[in-house]
Amino acid sequence: MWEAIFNFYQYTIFIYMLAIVIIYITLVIMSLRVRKAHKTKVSDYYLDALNKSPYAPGISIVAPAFNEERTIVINIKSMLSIDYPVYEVVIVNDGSTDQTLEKMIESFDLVETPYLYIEKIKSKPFKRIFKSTNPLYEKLTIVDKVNGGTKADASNAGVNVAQYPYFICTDVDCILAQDALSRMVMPILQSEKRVIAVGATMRMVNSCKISVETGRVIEDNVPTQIWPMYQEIEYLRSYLVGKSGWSKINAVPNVSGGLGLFDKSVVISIGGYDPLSHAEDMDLTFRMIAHMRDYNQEYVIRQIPETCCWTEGPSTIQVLNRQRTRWARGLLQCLLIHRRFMLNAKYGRLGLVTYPYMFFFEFLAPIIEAVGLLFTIFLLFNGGINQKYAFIMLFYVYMFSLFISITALLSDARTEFRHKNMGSYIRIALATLVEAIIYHPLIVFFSIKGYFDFLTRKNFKWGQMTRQGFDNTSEHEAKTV
Amino acid sequence: MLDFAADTFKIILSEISSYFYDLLFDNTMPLVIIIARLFILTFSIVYIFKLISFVVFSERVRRTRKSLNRIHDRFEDKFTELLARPDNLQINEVQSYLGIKPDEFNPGQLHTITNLLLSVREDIINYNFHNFQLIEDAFGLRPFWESQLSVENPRVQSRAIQKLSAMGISGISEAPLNTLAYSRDKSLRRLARSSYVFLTDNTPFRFFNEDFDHGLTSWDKIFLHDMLVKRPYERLPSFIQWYRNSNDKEMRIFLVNEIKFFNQDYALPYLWEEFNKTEDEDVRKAILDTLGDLRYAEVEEELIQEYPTMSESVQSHVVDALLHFRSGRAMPFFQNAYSMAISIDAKLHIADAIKNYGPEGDTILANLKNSEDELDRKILQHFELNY
Repeated sequence: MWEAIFNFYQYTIFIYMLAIVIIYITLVIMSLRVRKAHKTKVSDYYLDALNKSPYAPGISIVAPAFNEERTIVINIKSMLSIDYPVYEVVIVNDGSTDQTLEKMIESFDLVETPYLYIEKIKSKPFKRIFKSTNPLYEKLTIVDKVNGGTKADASNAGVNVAQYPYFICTDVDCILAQDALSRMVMPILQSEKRVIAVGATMRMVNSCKISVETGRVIEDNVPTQIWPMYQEIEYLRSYLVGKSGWSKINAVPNVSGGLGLFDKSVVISIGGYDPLSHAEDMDLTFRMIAHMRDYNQEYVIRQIPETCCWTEGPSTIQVLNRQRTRWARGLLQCLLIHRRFMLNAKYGRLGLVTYPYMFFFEFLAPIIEAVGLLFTIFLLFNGGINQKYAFIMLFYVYMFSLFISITALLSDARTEFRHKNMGSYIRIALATLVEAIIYHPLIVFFSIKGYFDFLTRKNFKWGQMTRQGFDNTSEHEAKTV
Repeated sequence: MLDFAADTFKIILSEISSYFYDLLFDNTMPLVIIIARLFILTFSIVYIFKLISFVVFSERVRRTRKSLNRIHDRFEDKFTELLARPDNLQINEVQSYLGIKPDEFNPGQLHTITNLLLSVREDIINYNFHNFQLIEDAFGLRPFWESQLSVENPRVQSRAIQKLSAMGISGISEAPLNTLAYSRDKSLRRLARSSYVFLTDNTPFRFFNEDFDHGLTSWDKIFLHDMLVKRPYERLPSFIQWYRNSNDKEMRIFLVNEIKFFNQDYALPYLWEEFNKTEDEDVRKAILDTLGDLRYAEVEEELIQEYPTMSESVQSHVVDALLHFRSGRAMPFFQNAYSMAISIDAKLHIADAIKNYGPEGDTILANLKNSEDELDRKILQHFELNY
């Protein structure tokens, strides 16, 4: 009886693993095609023509800030120095208790400017608007509001103030590339169908050199700290293989909260971000798709391979823990809230591809891995393990992970060889060799912890990131410490 | 040493052959293990292949960067000097100053030289166009990029069109471009049709007669506009001629916008006729913007009369147009429209027009202070403190 159960379990897990392998190989092939097609669609000449054109659509950059005094000024400078003809920067001070607002007022010559705030999307009470008296900062608007406890609530207030038809939602600690807006708006301009959201690649800013004057990244370095480096590898896999591949069949599961360009009218139609969600980005993506399907409108969500944003990665294991448990809670919450999409043909690819994939291969994966580990320990004590076969199976999984990592790395290099020399890439390639032992078990543990927290309804605060900030001691460059 | 290497090689070979043998003929292994081993083998081969590709690619990037640096070091200052000097040189003077021989450069280097030349030109405000053309001739950039149009690779062809356009080379041979203009690749086809406007001299607007290409995207409009801007202003035709023959809504909107951009005010009476004929709101909005921007105030009265029959989104364009006319007669209309407007957005928009219409706008807005409506008072406050 037990043997039959064990055999069934083992074959189920094998088939599960086989499904993951087949899905990822398909994603690799699709992402390569996306990257190849993308190369002909964007060029310096195109970006230049767009930047000079009267037809360039306006874009609002919306960035909520809560207690970001260490990085706020340099990050706003970076946003204000972007190359794009029509844009504005809307920073939402979400009731910060530190010197965030004061630093902004002082650095950008801000004055309070009463404003007729129209609450198209619900958010915690709006307090006031600040605008700069300095023409250099005329693109900047600061929204001061009562703390809503979530990034979603603050983003909603920002969207209410945004004046252009598209908006980029980003974190205030993120540094946008100079041409981020031009590159991200391209799929919208070039598509014959309505593009409702666009995502782009993000990297870690931890070891990059930043110009103090402009807040721009002037040297893109691989993080030297272990956790940000592994997170960068994860990001490359996720953006360049996962999301790029899904975008080939218009099934992108999630436009990242760190950097996403959205059609404002669709976001307002669905009531904006859900302030109660712990994964407001995925929740928003799901609801936007559902809205378009409900109203029988054609839509496209695109993912572009170029790096358009740098963000600060968790530098300690505690911060990594907080970040990952929050992501896991968010995933579970989002899947539970939107369970009606599961295998629901009415929602097209969302119901038949994206949701089932997220459930079976993103949500269940850590649980299956943890159960597998316990099962292996149990069999070890009972002498029920064939060492040779166990080794083969482990090696199979290991080689699969290496294959995906090297594909992402090569894809990154072919898209934009960002690093100065090959040494940086060698360091990443070497790190992937031990990722399965050092980093991955932690991620599995934090994910399960996140699910457990959610199910036991622990009282959690919305993930406030511990910022290290930029050390601006150098005249021309700053480096994270 | 050699023996040791040979022994090691033999051991590796024997391991690999035994691996394959077990994989194919060992019936004792369960199917799942055979599948797993097959994947291990595949992933290992692909991994090694990708590693090698990575090294090869990195080396290529390193060489390209080195070559790029060499070209920059050799020509950057010379290009700057030639483009900045006011006097027109002769081709032999340019050649000897640059110190180049015919056919010295390969396609990759010519590509780099083109990019360098364009970036140097970008930094000089009033560059010497004559000398710029001589540099192009000295390197043979025109024939090089024209020849690239015939390379059977859409990416190369698209790049060639862009480089020719960026360098301002017009009057090229139509044959290769004509082939591309009927390509199956939609984006390449549209690119070629747009570039006809600038790159060819014989029939630059032939695709306007063919409704360009149905379903113009926003990007097509941007590129087509870019090509039109590059043409000499006096050699632009009247866009209204194609408006009437066009069946494509996006093309019509584009043409209306270009009439505005190139100040073709003689087309305005015809546009007004079209405004009254069409029921498409997007086309009507585009026409209103053009009438407003070019100040065709003759239609003011009719617009005011028709205003109540229009949708709110079209109404907001009427308000903009009247604001641009600045005839001095629209203020009573604005006041009436403000009191009739229902949505806050519309009220704000009209109040903005009142504020900007003239000095009397301030007085009218100030009267809102006494309004019993709280929204009116808030709108006043909004304008008092936002200007």
